[in-house]
Amino acid sequence: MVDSQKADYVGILSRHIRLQPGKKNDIVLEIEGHLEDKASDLEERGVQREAAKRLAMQQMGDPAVLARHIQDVHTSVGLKEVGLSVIPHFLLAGLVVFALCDSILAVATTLAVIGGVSWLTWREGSPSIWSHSWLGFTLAAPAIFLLMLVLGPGKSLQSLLGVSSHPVSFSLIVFFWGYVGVALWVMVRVVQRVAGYDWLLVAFSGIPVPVLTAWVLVAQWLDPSWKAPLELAGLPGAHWILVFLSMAVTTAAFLKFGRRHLRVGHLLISAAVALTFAYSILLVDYQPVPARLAIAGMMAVMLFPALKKPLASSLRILHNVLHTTTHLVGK
Amino acid sequence: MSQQEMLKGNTETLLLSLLLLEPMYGYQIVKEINSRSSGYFDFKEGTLYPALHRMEREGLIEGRWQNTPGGMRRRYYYITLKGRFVLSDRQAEWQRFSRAMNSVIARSSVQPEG
Repeated sequence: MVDSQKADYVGILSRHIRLQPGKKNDIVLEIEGHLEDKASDLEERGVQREAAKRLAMQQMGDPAVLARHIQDVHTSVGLKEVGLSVIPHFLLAGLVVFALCDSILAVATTLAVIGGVSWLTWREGSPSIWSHSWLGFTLAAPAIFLLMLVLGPGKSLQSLLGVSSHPVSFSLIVFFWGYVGVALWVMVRVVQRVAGYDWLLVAFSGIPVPVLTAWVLVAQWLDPSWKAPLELAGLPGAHWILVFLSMAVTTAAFLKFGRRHLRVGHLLISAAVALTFAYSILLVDYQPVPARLAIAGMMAVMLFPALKKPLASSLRILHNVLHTTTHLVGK
Repeated sequence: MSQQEMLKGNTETLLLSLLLLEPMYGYQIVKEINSRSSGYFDFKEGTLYPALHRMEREGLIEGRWQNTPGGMRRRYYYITLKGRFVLSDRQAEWQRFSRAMNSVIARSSVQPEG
């Protein structure tokens, strides 16, 4: 009986800790060891074995609360990490500030730096939380590529395959395919390593994806030859600077919110804003409806696993409210 | 201020002071605090591990898994060089604080009414 209670205790603890498997196992083993030490100690002082085990669990407290406190410690970030996480936003804002969006070299260097940092941090296998924002920018490349496939063999894909009637720089084609390769490799590593224990971080990484995807699609639509790789898509440069600064603030706020439910709420609002912005850019020209649907679909796939539980709770609350209201009206 | 509030503000100092004597594992720390304070400090066990892990992330202590002669694996915490510096500052601050408190408290005493 007590053994099953202990298994439940450890199970709840384990379920509520969303950290890398190695770290999580260490924490669970440490707490389990403490419970055993405590129970043995109480037994030596004359307490019955079963009661000693129960008392040890009681004195350790609610496992969900303990897990939350430990989780908060391991996912809290300092100013240095926040600073590192917003560097890619400033790099892209810098392209706009210094009017370098039409320079293939500047854009390629910026993307290579972002992709390189993502690759380096993920190669080691224990990525820091700040690297997730870099990852978001890296993931935009395969997302854009995927979207081009979804939209069919249009001008965009033809350009990148080098078969378009518009002459495209060979170095740009080589860079693009190389970048997509690195980004796909990183994405596979992310899904393998993080998705299993915390989809919230993967969803957080996806925030820049709709904005960047919409930007590149419209830019490419306006200039199919990719002569200026990142045209400003019909928006003034100041707007783009504001967009990147807003994303930097969003990233910093997400990291500084220690509590998980605050992060989930923040992520929902940020995703809605990012999607609205992406759609507003797409409406500037006549980008097809599938582009909008595909962007929304990508965001839904990334957000759903992280938001499944809060959504289920919200639906349950709504159901209870409706049930109570119906009951009261019926009376 | 309650005993729990005072303890909360000084948890790190207490833990660093203990680990300066020798590396210890979680339950050993709880027992030592209890025994050295003659049972005065009722250390909530659920608060110990978040505190230890926070200190480890701050680089004040380092946890290492070790096998005990009895065959159990335990995570022992060691104080780091940074931890020693922080403890030295905290101890000096505590000395100043307690001297100042004592000098004020010692000159006034409340007579029980009735």
